[in-house]
Amino acid sequence: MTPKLHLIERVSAVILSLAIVAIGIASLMRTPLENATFAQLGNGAWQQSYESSFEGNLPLSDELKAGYHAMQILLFGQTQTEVVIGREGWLFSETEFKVTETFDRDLRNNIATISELSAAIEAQNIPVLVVVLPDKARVMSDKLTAQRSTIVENRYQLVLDELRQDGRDVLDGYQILSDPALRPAFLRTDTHWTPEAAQSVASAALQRVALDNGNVENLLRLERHEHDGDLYRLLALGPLQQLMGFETETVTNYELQAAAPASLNDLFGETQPAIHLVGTSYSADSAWTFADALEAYSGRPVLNFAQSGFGPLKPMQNYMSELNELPELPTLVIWEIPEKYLSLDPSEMSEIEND
Amino acid sequence: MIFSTPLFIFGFLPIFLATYYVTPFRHRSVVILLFSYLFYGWWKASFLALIFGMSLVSYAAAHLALNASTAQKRKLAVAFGVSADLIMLGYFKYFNFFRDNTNAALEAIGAAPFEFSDVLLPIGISFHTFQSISYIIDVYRKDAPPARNLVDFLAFGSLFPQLIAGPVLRYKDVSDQFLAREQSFSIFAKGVKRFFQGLAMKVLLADTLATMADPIFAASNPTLTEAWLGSLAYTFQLFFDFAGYSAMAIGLGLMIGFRFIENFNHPYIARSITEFWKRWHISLSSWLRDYLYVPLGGNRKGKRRTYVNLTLTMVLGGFWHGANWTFLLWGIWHGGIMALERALGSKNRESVYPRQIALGLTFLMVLIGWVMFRAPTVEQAFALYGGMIGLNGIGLSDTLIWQIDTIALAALFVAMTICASPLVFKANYEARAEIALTYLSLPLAALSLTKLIGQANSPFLYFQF
Repeated sequence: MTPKLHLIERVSAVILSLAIVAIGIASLMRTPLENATFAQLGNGAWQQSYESSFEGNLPLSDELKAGYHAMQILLFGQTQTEVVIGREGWLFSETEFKVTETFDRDLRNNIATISELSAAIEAQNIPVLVVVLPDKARVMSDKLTAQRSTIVENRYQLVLDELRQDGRDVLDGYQILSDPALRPAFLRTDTHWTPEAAQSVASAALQRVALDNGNVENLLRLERHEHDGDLYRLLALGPLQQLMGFETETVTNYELQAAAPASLNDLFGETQPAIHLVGTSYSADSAWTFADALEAYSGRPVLNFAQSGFGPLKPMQNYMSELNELPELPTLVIWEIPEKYLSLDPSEMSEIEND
Repeated sequence: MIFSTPLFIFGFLPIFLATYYVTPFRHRSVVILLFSYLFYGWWKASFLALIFGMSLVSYAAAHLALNASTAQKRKLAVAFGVSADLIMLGYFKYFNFFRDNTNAALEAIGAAPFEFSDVLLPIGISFHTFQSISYIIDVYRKDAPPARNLVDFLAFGSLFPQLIAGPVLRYKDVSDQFLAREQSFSIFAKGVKRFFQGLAMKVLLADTLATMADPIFAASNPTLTEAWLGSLAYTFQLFFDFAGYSAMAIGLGLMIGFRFIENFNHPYIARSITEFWKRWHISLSSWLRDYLYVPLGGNRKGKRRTYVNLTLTMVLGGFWHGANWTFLLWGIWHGGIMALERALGSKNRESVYPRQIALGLTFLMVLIGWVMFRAPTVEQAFALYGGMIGLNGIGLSDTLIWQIDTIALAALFVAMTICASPLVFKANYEARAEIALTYLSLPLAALSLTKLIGQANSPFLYFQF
């Protein structure tokens, strides 16, 4: 080995050693040593906990992760996270491309479950409107850089057809969300729809069941604010966001105004039966205004039983276990179901939603 | 604890090295021992008793094998020590396998199965067992001096750089290093460079290749393209994972002045399976030769017996890797081919195959073996073999196309290029590689650490053995 190589070897060792010691000291100082029992030490539980804590306290971990992902994007146009990068900074969830070996079986099972649960509610004379939401990758397909497989492309229509064949009342979300006037119906860096898209679907849903007697003015448009999309957070580019061409996007705030009574009789009269909303984060998160739009456009109270983090089936199962204990039955149940979950095993749905 | 984790690199290692270097040399074995036990006990402290117990029994057995008053007693001591080690290995590693297969047989004849709980496999027990056995036998044969004291032996047995996944050390190879070893900043720097070379192999290549191999090996009917992609990805994943670990172990050894044997020597340029085993997991293959093949008779009892011994050694070597029929079949595959090559005259020739096809044929045979080695079941292996001959279609299927990304394909290309480069550069390869690795040491380390911090747990494949 030449003297130059020796020198490089030693200098590299010094630099690496110093860097490792510095990072190590910083993380060790931030990671407290918790008390441990013999059992916890014996089975490794304490060790695992300490290690997780140590890793969480590493300095610069966010910056390094951002740097690594940025490098992958620069070299390969993609990362190995659950985010698929499309054109012009558009981000998509990998779930919308996913095909498993049990795709067909899971799809048919989930459609059957939706029908069974809907029918069980309808048996109590409560109409159910199933609102199927198409994939963001379906509506914004021109922003994709990779084709989705045929089986995924065929999924949405198959869901509509099968549910209608089972006698379910189904709102075709794609028809509304693909309207050029609404474009873009989804957020660029988030899996979810825009508030305006949610409001359009709310309006269409209520028109379908002739409950659109409210006042659109009751949903006040306020200022826009910056929004950190969930897909963008998965990408973890941190301070490199702008540099990598992912512009911050903004979302409009809305506020639901309480409807003023038309007359004194209304002031003291009976309230109208509510609409119950069941679904996923598309409905549960008030930022998307789906529940508020339903309330404003219908003029009826909307009770929101949607839950984030469980997929579309579990919230309905939870709702049905509570239904008979509610003080009043609804006039309508709206069940919002994003198509991307329907070809997954139900146990996977919550994993995906929690990403 | 795993080398490729932030806790090891930023926590354990600096504290160990600092403690080690402030300790006078005569007490450094104690430091090695304590930190090695901390390293092992980080997984489950309760299993420290096993490692300690096995080491104690092996130390005592070796002592008796050397010092007992009669030859018979000395032989008995060897038998006792080796049996005790093998019983521990057998219980922890193979109990579940034999229970499940016995129960399957019982159920087939309508009998009630045995109701025994699963036995947890302690990490590194296979390596530890082989090291302990080699110590007893080497001391008995007077091939190696006994450890000067129990602390040295316990430190040898638990030496954290190699405890979990080798190289399989023999006491005679390191015994003098416990007495004296050359330590300098230059050697330390070489160790750092080697460690990060190994880390890069593991984190940048092996882990990336796993993202392609894993879903393909989980598919029930992979197509031709998928099967070949998956088997190629695993072939290189395994090499970079295991050779990466070995490089890290060797690097760690150098940091404290130990020189361990090299464990890999460009195995994928081998021109026969016989040659492959002189290049792959060298410490294991030489152990099997010295402690299994030779005691079985080696090639001293006629041709037929030689072939049997070769095959049996490889079958047992396969079974050592794991308690699964796949490993047995993998061992039969390699052992059978080695026996065939011996019959064709491999002992006296560079390769028994025509020069033009030797390398490709050997690589193909190794790859076919890795499919069985990797598959969770024999059925799954044959599903992949079926895919490889086009029984499930040709192109990429819907189920897998979305999971195969450019990054993994690029990693496969880089891996194949690295493995093939000795063929291109031939005589100059080692020198050129040394230059490249020296210049790239810092950027590779930075990249590896960056990825490591950002990614989830990345265990070593050979951890399971």
